[in-house]
Amino acid sequence: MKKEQLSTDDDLHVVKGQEKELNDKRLHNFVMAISKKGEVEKLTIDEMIEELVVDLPVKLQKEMIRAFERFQKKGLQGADLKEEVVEIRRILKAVYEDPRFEMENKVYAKLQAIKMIDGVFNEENLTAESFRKIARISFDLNGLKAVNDLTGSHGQGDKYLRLMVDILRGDKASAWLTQKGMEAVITIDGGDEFGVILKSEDQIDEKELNDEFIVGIVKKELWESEVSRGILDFDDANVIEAYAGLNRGDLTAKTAEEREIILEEIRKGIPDGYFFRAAVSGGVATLYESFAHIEIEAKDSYEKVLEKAMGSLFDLSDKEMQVDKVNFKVNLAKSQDPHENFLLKVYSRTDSEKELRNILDAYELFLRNVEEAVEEGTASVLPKVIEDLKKQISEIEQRAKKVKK
Amino acid sequence: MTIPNDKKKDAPGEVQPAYNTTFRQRVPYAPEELERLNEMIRQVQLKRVEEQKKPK
Repeated sequence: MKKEQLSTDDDLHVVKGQEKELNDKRLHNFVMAISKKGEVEKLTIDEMIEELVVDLPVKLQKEMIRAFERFQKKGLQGADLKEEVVEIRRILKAVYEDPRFEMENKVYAKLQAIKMIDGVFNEENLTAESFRKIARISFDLNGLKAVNDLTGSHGQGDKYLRLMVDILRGDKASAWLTQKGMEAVITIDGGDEFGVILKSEDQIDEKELNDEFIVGIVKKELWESEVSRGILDFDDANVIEAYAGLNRGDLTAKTAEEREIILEEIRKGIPDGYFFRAAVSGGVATLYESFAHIEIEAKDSYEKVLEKAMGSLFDLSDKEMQVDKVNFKVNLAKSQDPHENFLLKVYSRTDSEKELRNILDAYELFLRNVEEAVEEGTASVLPKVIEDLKKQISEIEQRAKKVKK
Repeated sequence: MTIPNDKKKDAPGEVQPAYNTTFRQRVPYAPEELERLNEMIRQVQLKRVEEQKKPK
């Protein structure tokens, strides 16, 4: 989708009820770009609509075009038509964008991957080697949950995500991709995941992509970022307390002196001069190897084959990312650097807690179901089972407390 | 499907940061796997032609 940056234009201010949108500079620029493009290139309304919906799935395209046809029948033009353009754009944003970072989401990534794969399938001299022109990188930020848990809010976690967004969109990453002649679609795929879909005119060298882009730029910039130090600040007493598994309630009853003694004890387990480093795990796969993982059935439509190819590309790059994550943790564990060993402790603390929490949630759900059965009189023997389960839950809670400590 | 590369040799005294993991180089396709891939490509092309014939 075109996103030309044009100078601001007060014309939109005449549109009633759009004050909120006027604050959204990017949206404003988008509408201006479409309008300007129409004026400069003498596009018809139909062509402008096509410009707006070109990246949409077919079903949604049809819906949008029908909506525009209704607007045209109403005789809308000028500012009124722009109002409708704004409305359409709002829908597109909701479908394709993560509102937190104004970055395209996984839905958009999948759509673009399908378009790229379709492009390769349409090549005249298609061979298996042609499939090396498309790749996906799967990224997963390490320790986002730890950041959220230890700071007690999502504010620092959002800073962590923003740092990754800035690096992926940054000068170094862009320059490398441009130098290699790669078309890249960068997306935030939900939670702590990011993706990059790549299309090149030449075959993509996965090792070069890994060594120079994933490791040499993205991982390195994150790891060495000054910003990451402030994301999780181990000079902050609240972070230290949370790391040690202490609740506010545990310490409020203590005097300032007692509290400082406890903190000092915890600090002994933290390496001198420790600071948090941002890190991401990344896996890459090309269509070349991922395509071999699918089965094409006689009943499959061409569209279905495209979806399977896209799905396989996503799955394989995700799996490679998971392998990379394990390797990273192994490196942290084996490292001679106590700061790296400690980073693993920060991750592991929340991993273990999460695992126990999942078990506990499962038990509690089961318990609720059993209690309902007893209330309905359908399970007279169950009170004993409930008692046993309560004991088990209590034991798990004790284990969780030990992990925290 | 994949084999690890030889671990990168660090220069004397140089320590690689933990994020610098070992890249897993793919094993090339065996001839029969490549044959299957080419057959799949043929099927894709047939389906694409069928798709294009469909009335829009």
